[in-house]
Amino acid sequence: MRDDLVAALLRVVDPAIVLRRPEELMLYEYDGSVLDQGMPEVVVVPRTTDEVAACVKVAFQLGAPIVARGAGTGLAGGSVPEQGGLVISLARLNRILAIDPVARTARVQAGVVNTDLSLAAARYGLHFAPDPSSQRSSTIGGNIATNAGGPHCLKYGVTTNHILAATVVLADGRVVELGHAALDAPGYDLLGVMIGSEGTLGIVTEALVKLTPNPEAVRTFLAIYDDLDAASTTVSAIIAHGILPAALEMLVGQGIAAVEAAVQAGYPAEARAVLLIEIDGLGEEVAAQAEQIAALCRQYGARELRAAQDEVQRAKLWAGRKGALAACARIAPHYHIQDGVVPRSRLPELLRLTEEVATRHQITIVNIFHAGDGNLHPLLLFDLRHPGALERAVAASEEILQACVAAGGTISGEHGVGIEKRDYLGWIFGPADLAAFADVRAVFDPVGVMNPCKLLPSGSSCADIRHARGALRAVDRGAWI
Amino acid sequence: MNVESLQPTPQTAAYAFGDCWPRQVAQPMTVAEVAEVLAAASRAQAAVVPWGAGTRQFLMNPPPRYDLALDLRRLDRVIEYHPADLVVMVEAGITLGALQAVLAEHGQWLPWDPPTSDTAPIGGLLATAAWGPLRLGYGGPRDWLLGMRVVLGDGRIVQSGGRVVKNVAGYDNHKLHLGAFGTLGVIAAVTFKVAPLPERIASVRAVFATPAAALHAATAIRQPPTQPVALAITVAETVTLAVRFAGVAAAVERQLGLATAACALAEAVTLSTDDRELWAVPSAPDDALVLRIGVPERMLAAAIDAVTALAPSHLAIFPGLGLMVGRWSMAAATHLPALRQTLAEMDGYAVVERGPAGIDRWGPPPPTIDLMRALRQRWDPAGILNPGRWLVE
Repeated sequence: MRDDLVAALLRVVDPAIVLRRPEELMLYEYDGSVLDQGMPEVVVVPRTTDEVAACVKVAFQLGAPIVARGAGTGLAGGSVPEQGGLVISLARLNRILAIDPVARTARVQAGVVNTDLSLAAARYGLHFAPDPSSQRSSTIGGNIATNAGGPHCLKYGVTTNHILAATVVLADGRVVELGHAALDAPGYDLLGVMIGSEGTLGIVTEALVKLTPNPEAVRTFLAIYDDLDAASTTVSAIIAHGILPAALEMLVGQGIAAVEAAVQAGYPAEARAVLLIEIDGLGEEVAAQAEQIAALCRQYGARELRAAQDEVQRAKLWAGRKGALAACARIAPHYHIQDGVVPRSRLPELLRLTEEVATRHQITIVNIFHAGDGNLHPLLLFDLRHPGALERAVAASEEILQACVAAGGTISGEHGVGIEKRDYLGWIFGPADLAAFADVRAVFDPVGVMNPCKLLPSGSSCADIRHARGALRAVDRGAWI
Repeated sequence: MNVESLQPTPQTAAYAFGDCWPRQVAQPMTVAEVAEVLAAASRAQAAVVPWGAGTRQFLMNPPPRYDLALDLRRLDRVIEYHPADLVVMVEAGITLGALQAVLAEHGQWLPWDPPTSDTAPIGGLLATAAWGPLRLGYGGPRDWLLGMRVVLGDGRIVQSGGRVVKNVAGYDNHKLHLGAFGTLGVIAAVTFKVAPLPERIASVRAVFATPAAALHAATAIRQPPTQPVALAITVAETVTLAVRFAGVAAAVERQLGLATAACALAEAVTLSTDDRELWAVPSAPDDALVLRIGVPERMLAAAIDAVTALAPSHLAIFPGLGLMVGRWSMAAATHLPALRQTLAEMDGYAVVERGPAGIDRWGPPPPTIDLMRALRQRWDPAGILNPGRWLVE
């Protein structure tokens, strides 16, 4: 298979974009998740949509698995070539094709890095709203594939709310445009299912995205707590009072000290929990919300409420939050990260449960997460060299996730299903629901070559070839939550 | 549950299209009953018209086959409402007006203002892609939708999405049913996130000499710091720009001032603090040709020129959304092919919302029509849902 695939690719595309030496392929065997690895048979790094389409056509004809990859920052194994086959890196499709400041849209190639788009839009007073913590590395194409979130999605919505149209290469190499620059063009919302489909329905090579005006006023606060319940109850209270901050993040326990050690942003290392609260909008709105939030923080037991004094301090606070996962490498060498969601009113009980699970499984769990959305990120930290550590981490992780589902929540808020959670899908969906998902997949990819065995529960055609478990590398590659 | 008749009865006549009425009517009380009806209809290959209040049936072709009217208005319960989580789950037969009343008791709303929201059930509004001017500031229902339970054409009950505000598990299948005109399945229950009611809502109304002058002002008002939640230019006897703001009272106050200043070239400017009447949608007469026109936002000025050249009797323009709804006499239908050609060059389209029988309502099908047909084949294999009435027949 491998030799056929390479030979066929070399016949249709420039050999310069085909990578096949083992040391080249090794770079593509993992993503930001720790538990999954798989070696591709060949990797291509195309420069145009047509080259992507030509490579897809070749793999399709040979029945080889096709795995698209952006920056590889995913946390669920979505871009890991578990079944071998062809990895298509979109990294060279990295041009911003047009920014229209009047329509507030940008046409970008899939490999454009999230932050680069916002930097380019800044001269028009605009930005791309989805801001996953990986945004300095992750690509728009990857953001679309995972329907990425981020701290500011609380107010501005997730990726799917910001994509108008996309150029997509389908399983057989056909290139189609889904969505439309004009709203409400008649037809089914195929773009709506493509977004978040983790490369199982097609490969996005270009997108028309919405840009959002920068707010007139921004204020950022750090609310400091000696009590976990007080912090989580404040979050529930802010939402229940109908206040929609731009971002409402929570850091708990040892994570605070680790973040502070990494960035020295003024996070109080000894605090039990902190809330990073940002509000934005018109000056009058921000002033009104600041007062309400200060009152609620006091009422629910914050020890102290500090405001960022200037843009430098604000940027540092955010650098600490967005770099939190890397900072926690100071606590233990290996991690497993969860992404469950609960209704916001259930946060206090879920955080209590997380602590209890950590104690029972003798594992360090740090929670640094999007509290305003109810999107928990328990970070389970361990050292693989200790026998049983990985098993305890996985058991603790599953227990927390099951509690999220029992509370009326879901198994993934923003990281995706990929390999890691495909067998948990049955916790929240019944057989009929899963069959309807499979119907959608069969419409787009009747032969099953697009990122096979991901996102849906692994069927009989998906041999479990997780060769990697137990032979993991250290976490120092860097990842973001 | 069913009424069968070869002649119209008072009951079947209520679901008639002209002189075409259903043989049967089903008024299910539960989702399971909807599933039974559709499974049986699939087996019998009976043509089904899902029915809400019947206020938007005119958007599709009249049914060439019509065996069963499936009236969903008895599925009208609020299933779960958690004000503290800003999430509500309802059966699809509840009217949007009834839902807004429930939410308002807790100081919340769904910022969605389609026409006929007092009488039309949510399922029908979603299936027909109903929207209103607030879409500018708040996005459309697609942006507020968290999950859905649907009965597919073959009677399968399926759900997607969930009850929390952030969720990437599974495909967003629910989005496929928005604007699908019931051709993939019948929407049975819907979960929305909701929002706190704004402290203040108020509008500015300004009369201009020309649509271009009104559009110029609207474009200025869309620039920060002003953030209108709705903008509409009405071209009828006069050209009127309506601008709506919502939020904290002091912020609304300042924006009203800025918007008034941006209307310096207007002939007359009025402030409305109780602005509901201003935003009420006039109903179109049955014998009118009504077109919905969409273009990329940057082409709006050119598209307005092309459309006003055809002298509509009434035209509503939505700056910032790239959408227009225009009304003509039926005779104007002869201009439709040429207008479509002009709009296609702008990457836009025209859809016939009301028009003479047999008119090409949707124009050329999208290049992905084969995928749409394949999807419909999977979920409505017997082709019983609104057959022959919509783009994907």
